[in-house]
Amino acid sequence: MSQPGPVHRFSKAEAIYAGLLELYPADFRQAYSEEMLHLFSENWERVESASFAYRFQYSSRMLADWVLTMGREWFSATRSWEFTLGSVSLVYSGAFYLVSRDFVSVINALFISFFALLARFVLLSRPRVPLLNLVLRAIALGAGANFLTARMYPSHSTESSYVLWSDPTNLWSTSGGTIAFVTAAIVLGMSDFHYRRHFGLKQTLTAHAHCGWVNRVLYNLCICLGLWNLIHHQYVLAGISLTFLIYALSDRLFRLWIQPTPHYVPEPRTFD
Amino acid sequence: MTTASPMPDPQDLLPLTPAVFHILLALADGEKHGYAIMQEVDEATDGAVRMGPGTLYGSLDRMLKNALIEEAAQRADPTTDDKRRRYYRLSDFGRKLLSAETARLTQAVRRAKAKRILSPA
Repeated sequence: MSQPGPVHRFSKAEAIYAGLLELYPADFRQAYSEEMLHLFSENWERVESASFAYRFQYSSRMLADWVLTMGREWFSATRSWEFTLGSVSLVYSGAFYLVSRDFVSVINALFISFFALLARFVLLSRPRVPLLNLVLRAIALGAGANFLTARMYPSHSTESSYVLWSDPTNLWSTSGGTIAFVTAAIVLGMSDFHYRRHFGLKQTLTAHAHCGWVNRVLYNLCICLGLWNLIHHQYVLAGISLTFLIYALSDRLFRLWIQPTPHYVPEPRTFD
Repeated sequence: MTTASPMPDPQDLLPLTPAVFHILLALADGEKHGYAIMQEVDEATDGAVRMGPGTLYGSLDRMLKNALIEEAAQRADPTTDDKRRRYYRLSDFGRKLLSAETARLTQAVRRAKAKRILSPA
């Protein structure tokens, strides 16, 4: 009968780091979190007996490493328009309202952004629970009841144009821009479900970057519509187009400069 | 019939990031696990390049996907008595890439010396 090995008791720092590792994307976490924790523990054994200043410096470095790499791993795990657009639009919405000095609206915008992303993720990951989807999406859109914040509701700004609950007249607005946005939103939603059904969640979330030519066309259409609004002095809607353009640029910058290495994966070996 | 993906020209992938370059260099003389790579990079650069676990394993993950390195069989480190670890080794393509990057850096150093930025060795 084998004897159980010695039990390793986590220090507080190790327990905190183990908790932080849980926030990496699932694939990355499953592949590396055990080794990362192991590596952290080995370093921490040496650092633990050092001065407070050194421990503080080391902890700060580990924290910075976690913040930077977690964001990067999430970005490369999803590499989707929605998630990146979400993060860009969080900054954009915040900046917009800071300029207008309406701090309550800043919080509203961030709150709505968060629920919008959550709603879409749940919608895609749990398509067989329609009631839950409905509730979450209602919360997300309901949070956008305020006219301005609904307009700034970023990741699904296309949808917000026809779910402006505080201004029901907009629901049936017949302006060319609104109709086009509504159409784009409906087709985008349908394409999401199509991808989810045929390719699974991960492929759906990366579809925009890899194989979603339909979505690419639609998003480009949204950019054009945003520009159309700019020409017609509808500045809030034009602002949404700016968000799309910022993302489009950042997507290309990411591919060309930040991660220049192509995804070269050798063919699997076959044995006759 | 399957056709192999074309091997990219190493020149197209230069310059490498410091993390990728130092990891490739650490693996040039044999298989190593993550902690050993981190230690070697830290010592070789006198602490100038310090990779945290996220940077190290994020880089290793991308390098695996891009076939710059390969995963060797898991085993315990013979110098310690702890559990099995994941070992990595340089692929042929990774070695070519490291060679190309080293040549690029050597050329840069030669030019710096010619312009008396660096004193000749």
